[in-house]
Amino acid sequence: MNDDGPHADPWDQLDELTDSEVHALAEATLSVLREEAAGTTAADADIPPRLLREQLAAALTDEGLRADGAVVNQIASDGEVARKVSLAIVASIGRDTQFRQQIQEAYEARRAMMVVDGGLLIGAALLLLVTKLKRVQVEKGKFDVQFYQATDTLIERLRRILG
Amino acid sequence: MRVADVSASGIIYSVHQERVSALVVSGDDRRAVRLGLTPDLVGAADELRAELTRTVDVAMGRVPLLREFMRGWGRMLLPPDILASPPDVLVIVPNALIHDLPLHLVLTDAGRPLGAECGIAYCSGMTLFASCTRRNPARSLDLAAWRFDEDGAQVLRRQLALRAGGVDVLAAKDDKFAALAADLAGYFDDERVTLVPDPNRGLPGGWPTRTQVHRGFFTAVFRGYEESPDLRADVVCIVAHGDLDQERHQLSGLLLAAPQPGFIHGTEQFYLAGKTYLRTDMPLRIAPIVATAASAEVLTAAELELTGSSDAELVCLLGCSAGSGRVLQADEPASMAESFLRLGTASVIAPMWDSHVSACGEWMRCFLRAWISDGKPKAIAARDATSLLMNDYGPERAGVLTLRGDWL
Repeated sequence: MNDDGPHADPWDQLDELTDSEVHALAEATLSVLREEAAGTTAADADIPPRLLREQLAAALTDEGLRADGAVVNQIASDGEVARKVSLAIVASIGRDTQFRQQIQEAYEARRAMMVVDGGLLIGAALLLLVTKLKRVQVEKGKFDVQFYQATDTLIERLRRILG
Repeated sequence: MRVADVSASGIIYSVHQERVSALVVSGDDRRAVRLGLTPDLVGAADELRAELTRTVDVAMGRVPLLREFMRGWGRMLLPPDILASPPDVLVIVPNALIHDLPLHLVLTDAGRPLGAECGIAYCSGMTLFASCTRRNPARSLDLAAWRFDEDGAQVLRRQLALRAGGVDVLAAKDDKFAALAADLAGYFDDERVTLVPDPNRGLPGGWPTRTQVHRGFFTAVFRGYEESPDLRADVVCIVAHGDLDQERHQLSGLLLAAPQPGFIHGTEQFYLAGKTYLRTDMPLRIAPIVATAASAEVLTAAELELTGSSDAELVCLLGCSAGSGRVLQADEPASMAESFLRLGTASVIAPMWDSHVSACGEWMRCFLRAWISDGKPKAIAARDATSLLMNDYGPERAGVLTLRGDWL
């Protein structure tokens, strides 16, 4: 896994990825979106875990989702929920071919590092970033309409995952 | 060149409320220098550290803050004369916010990273540095007779015992970590090498010999060498995934193979407050991953500190972030690398942030060629390795491995 050679396309087998690979893919997606959002407040990185949970609860509530402390804790601490959330986001963002290619490159580079996955909080951080980006002004030119449609679909999927 | 003629300087940092100052030691000369303003540096240092913890950005070479540090504010942290004319060797003793800053990558006046122009060794404190030099077997060699040539002509050849192992617990096959450990072992005398997995004792295809790369092997190296001379090591090399526990740093560690889940490697006695206790040798924590190709267990800094010791001259920790860690009370940085220095190792090589397996391997090969084959002091061998890798890689890869402890 940790060589620089070609790998099977993760997009073809999202459901078969190990948890570790899902975390790596989520981390790659997070990195690509942050890069795209550079210069906007949405790209603020490295939020402490507690603040991340608070901001995520507020952001999900704004999206009309039930997001009390228990739900946010599930996303940040329950491996199964974190996996579902991460995969839902990655799959949505990956519909955009440009994003998909960038994420793939970041994912492959990430796999050549001598480190294991970034943990369950990656999914929560990714979700927070996506909800923030949904509110980034289109005039910024960073995200196209397709992205917003993808996030709308994503919110619907999350509603089902989180109950 | 004679080792006795190497010009070595030291910079001992002291961070005050208003300004960073340093004592520069060079031979008998001691002088205090005033460096950057602390308030200007605090935020920038914090942001740089954060950038270097973002694995994907590091993997992609997206490190704008590191580049800004190298050519900009990082230069405010080094004395101008060092940047104008670096010594052969520089020992850096950081303090407070200076810990973990990659000063070896700051550009000199010649526009090259400092660590590519002079040999650099970091040490977290003067007392620790004194301990490292005192127990370094290389210091007992005749430094006046120890010669090395910059063109690589070998003058000194030492017979060093190596205990090495590598395992990628995420890899189902083609374990590149094991291959790297075996490759690095090639620089040592065969008869003095213990390598796990042992290519001569495994089943065809290499599996499941990787299970030899468990905590028990390394804890035996670091605990049992006094009773069992076969385990004594001059050099220990571990190639494995690192796992950094941001909240409880002593539970950071290296991920090794587990013979089987819950395997107990044995029992051991240890002494605490004048009493003898017996403990089972099991991991202090579970591995942070699931669904891996091999069962994994963690060799944590905490358990090594509890019962381990080492008289190795060099420990190489080739695992992500094994050299980075939060600064604890009394200005003590917590990291695996720091733990090994405190166990008694004279020098440690470890990455300052998440590292790339290929670049790590290249750096280590350059280092071992210069140190083992060409007989150069460790810091100068590290300089050669960094300098060579800077030709092909960005600073995030060429500068990730650093030498700590004694420079010789």
